[in-house]
Amino acid sequence: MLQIQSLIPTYFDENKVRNSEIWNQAVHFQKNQQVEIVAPSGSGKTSLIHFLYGMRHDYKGKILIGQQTITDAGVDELALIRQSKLSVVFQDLRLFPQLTIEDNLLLQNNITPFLSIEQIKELLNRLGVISKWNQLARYCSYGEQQRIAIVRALSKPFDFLLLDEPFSHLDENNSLLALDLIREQVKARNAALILADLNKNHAFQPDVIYHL
Amino acid sequence: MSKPSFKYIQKLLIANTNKSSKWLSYFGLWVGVSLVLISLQFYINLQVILGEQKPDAEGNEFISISKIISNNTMGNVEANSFLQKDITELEAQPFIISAAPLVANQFRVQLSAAGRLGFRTDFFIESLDAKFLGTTPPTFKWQEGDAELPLIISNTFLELFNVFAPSYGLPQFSKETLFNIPLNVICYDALGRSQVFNARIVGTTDRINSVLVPESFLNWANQTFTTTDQLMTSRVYLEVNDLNNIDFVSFLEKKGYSIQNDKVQFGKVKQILNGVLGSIGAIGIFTLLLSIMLFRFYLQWMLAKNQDSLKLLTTIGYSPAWMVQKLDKAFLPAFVLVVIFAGIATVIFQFIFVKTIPLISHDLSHFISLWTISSTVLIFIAILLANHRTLKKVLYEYSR
Repeated sequence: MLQIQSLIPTYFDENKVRNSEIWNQAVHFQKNQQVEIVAPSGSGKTSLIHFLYGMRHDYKGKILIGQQTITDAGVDELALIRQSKLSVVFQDLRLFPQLTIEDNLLLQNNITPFLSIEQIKELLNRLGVISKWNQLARYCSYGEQQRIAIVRALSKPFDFLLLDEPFSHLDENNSLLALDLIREQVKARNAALILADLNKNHAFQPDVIYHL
Repeated sequence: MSKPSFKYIQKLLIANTNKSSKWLSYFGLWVGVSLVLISLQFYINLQVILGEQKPDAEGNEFISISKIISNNTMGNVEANSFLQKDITELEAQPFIISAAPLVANQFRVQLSAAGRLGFRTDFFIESLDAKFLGTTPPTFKWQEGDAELPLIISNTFLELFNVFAPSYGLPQFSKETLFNIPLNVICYDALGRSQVFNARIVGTTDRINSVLVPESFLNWANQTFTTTDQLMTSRVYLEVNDLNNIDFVSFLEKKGYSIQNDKVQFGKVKQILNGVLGSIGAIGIFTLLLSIMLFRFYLQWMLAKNQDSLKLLTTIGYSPAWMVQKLDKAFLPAFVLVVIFAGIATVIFQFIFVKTIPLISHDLSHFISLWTISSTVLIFIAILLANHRTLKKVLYEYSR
């Protein structure tokens, strides 16, 4: 279970969180659950994803994963959580631009060898970016990079998959292909999917929707 | 689950590294380590060379002192002699380890070369507590009734004799020949009656400028050939840690005791050399620290250049502890090579040093000392630790 307890970014005004269903609330995300967080610009969507992933700590309140607190975990402890329990697709993707797609994915697979290289290639193939295997990430289009970031996030073990506007640069067809693949991989791991976006994604039928 | 490999990370970091900076940093480190090892080896060499001048295994020095004969005390034998209370006072000083009188003959003594060389001269003999003489030949002992009196003479006397012998029509002697010459020591009592003793030189010494006989002989002879019962000692032999101890020097000055000049000169030279060596050592250590710092700057610069990648690695699940461990390992072969090459430079230095200065280096090993080898290991460990600390500090900072 991923728990949020009375979470408020330190730089937020109290008024700003008054109507939020997540900020300053007690929220639990269960494994197996599909969650959508609808968050208009400036409501702190990316901050929330960063908080949940343990990248930032400029908030009041507490985040727990199982019995472990993410809030005061050390960097080596966080690394273990990221290796086995959490996976993420950042809004800004965060691929290694100087490496090829192959090296980007093998670098992830090196630390979390969950899928075989063939299986990873199959994921790329399903999203239509297998042809980019030997290309440097910096030469891929933003849409291609987004699909590769999704494959990277799906190639490792996780209990909770965090997605920050994962389809923002994909056309409808590619978005549907990516969503299908994500749902399939999440189901295979019996994991939770937490998708944060600016608007309601009509193709995604979540178990629960939160308004940030 | 297979263990994660470091090769992907290395690929990532190497792609963004300037080769010339890297080699320059390793070169700087090599220069630093080499300089400190060479300074240390140089220091050890000089200690060995200077150590030869020290007659004692514990590094103590031996010196004889006498009272300064001034116009006022001239002719006053008692004023110019050391009494037992003077010796007791000397022994009580913290900077003096032990003191013993150099007892001289108090009767007339002549030496002749057993008549064969037509050599006869007035002479003097002295004796000293055996422990001050260091190693003496087993034959250097005497008891009443013995057929032969053993002598130990100063090497300086032998040199002087060989310088002046030709002018007097006497042959020059090698040390070996000298030991085989039968001599006579002739002692006279106050009435001019003499007794002849067969004598032979059994050893030479650098420590004491004198002709030494066993203590038992001189004690017996001073009683037999004189009527006075007060022994006059004009020289006292001292064992001290450090000739240049300021308290020691000022004590001698205050008491009006004079000291053998060349020994003090050597002490001064040694003091200057120690100062020079100290400076060389300090410069060596300073250079080593500087080169470790230079390497540290290179490392920090390399990590800073790869800051984004390193941060991203922790984001995708690499732990800083794992990366520090792997980077430590990755630098290890280069550090081993740096230290080995510095060791080789020191070995070459030592070889050249020993070859080019054969006069003073006959006791020096052609190979570097064990101290230098142990210091090499210590420096290697210090470099590893310094590198590890920098990596840890920077990587944990980036992971926060």
